[in-house]
Amino acid sequence: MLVGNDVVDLRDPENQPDSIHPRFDARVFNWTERARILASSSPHRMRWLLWAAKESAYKVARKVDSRVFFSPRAFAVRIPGGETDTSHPFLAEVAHEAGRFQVCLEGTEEWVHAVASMSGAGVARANWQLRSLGREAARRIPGAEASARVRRLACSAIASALAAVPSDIVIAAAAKRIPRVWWRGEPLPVDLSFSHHGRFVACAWGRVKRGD
Amino acid sequence: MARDETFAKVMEIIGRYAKNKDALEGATDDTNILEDLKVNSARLVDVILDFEDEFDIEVADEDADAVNTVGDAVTLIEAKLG
Repeated sequence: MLVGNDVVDLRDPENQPDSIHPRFDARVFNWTERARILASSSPHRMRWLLWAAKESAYKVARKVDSRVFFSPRAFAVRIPGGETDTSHPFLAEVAHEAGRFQVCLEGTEEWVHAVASMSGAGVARANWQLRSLGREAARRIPGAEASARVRRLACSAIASALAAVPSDIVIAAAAKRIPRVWWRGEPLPVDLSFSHHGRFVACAWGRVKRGD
Repeated sequence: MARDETFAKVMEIIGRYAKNKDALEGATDDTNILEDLKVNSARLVDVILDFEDEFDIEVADEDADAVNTVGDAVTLIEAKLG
């Protein structure tokens, strides 16, 4: 099972509606998605939900086919139903020429998070954790430290799931910056994904089974 | 336009979005935009759009995806400007 995730801090100054480029929406979203943003009771949250869905699906697509490049409009997001209450997880589908991806979306007034996989079953089997760094900490923490923190979060979460010691878990980037997991030097059949933005760090992972 | 001039304009644009302001001063062609300057992926879209506005060029997503370093950006823009 392959996973991808993406978290967006909805309060981050850099992604507020008056901070993004005037052509951002046209570059990133197709007509249907832009209409969805405009019709939403919270266009700001809908914009970043759709973005997170695309980004998380792209992370899976790149693992499936390393030739895939990030062309946001080419990842078409379909959210079944009408206005979405993001306080409860819900499924969306992202279509791309590399395949169809199922994405679990969830959010609050503070953040949105997406977890993607190749199937609904894959998303259901995925585990994820999200942590807040706190507003002041996020200001002080450089990007490299945020990366380290999300790795520590993943080590701790995976160790807990495996009843292992966190210090025995090592996560390192492999080809194409895709993270891999080792336990006491042995590669683990675990696929994982990291994301951090603003005050939040998040990781998603799942066991890779034969045939995934 | 001289490469140095393009480099300076590229850095001015990227500087608007870089989280790691300390890394801007010593940036070279090899400086990675995402990893070293900590421009996030959504802001990279804004960077590309600003390149298009500043240099009056069009950058396809496939070309944008190949921009990893400051030097990649400068080389892409120079190629577009002919």
